[in-house]
Amino acid sequence: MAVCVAVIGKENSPLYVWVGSGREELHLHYLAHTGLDVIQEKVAAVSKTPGDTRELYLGLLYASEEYKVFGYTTNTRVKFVIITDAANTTLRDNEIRMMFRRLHNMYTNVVCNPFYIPGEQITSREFDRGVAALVAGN
Amino acid sequence: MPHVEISITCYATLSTCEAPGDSGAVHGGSVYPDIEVVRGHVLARNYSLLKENQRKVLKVWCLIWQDFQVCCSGMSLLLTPTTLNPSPQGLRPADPKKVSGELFTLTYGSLVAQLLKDYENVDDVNRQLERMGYNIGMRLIEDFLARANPGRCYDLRDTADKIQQAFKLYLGVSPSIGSWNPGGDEFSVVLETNPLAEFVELPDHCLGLRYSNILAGIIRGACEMVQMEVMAWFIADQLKGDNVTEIRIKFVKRLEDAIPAGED
Repeated sequence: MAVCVAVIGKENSPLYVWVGSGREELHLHYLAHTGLDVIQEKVAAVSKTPGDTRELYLGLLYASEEYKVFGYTTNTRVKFVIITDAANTTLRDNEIRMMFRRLHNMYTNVVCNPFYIPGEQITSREFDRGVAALVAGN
Repeated sequence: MPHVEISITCYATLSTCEAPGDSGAVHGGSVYPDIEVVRGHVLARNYSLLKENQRKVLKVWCLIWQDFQVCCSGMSLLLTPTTLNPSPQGLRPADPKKVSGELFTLTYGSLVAQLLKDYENVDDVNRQLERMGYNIGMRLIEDFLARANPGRCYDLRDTADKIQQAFKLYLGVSPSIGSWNPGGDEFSVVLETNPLAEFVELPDHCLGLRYSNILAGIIRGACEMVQMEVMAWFIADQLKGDNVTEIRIKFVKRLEDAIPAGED
């Protein structure tokens, strides 16, 4: 059960952050932000090995006692971060990958909207509904 | 030409040997040349490429060359076909008039977004879209008449059918016709999906925008070119939360060819 979903833009600006009800928003925002450092390390590490096509799914970035943070990057430097409860062991790696793939598809739909300028906040209602379905579906 | 019979046979063999080299490339596409023919060509080519046969090949070429010298010395221009067989049709280039549906949707979207930025007034944008549609419709009707060859319309129901056909032909959607009014001069074109407005979400500050207004203009322009004046407008739009996209079309009058002023 995902606790927080964040879409972060190229310049590391937050484009969309959703936090589950009843959770400490500030702490989760902070965790998502610290996840960015780990993403940057991983991306830098992969680009050093030549000829290696970069894998979009970055896996578990960081695990604390309370939360686990997963990361996913796109080729346009847009990053997705999903935070889940550490206690929740039922969520397998495959399911997280599926969630990221669906998130990526929803993001591309938003970008195709001619009224959306890439780089600004995502205010699309379809995207909201999609994220709610994504989180509820697990 | 003295050696003409031999030369024609050899020329035929040699030139078709060149063809497999090309049709081999075409092979990668969707053309599968007749295997026997190819085998024959390959054998002939291999024959001519073997060292010991090179001499014979060269001799034949010399004979051909001499022939030409003899009979063509007075001429300044000689036209010959390059191969004996017509060129393979396999690699037909993609129909240049077809575009990917997504490209079309994105193009229309950026057009509307740019118009909005330029005019900043939703009503102006609506008007511009309708006018653009009108210009498109005037030209599109010619293409429709040429391609679909629909035949004369005897009443408005025929016209409605033709409009349905046109949607199918150009947008790939099948709208339904309905909601005829009692007088029989108004009807609705109902679209379940609107290919122009895929992925689009109207922002809050332009809820009055008729995003697909170009379609209304196209219908009006096309009908005007076939001597019918109609009014076309949107009464429902999926982008605004309705279930379907609906265009209402009303027949106004038949246009008689106007006599230009000054002539009687």
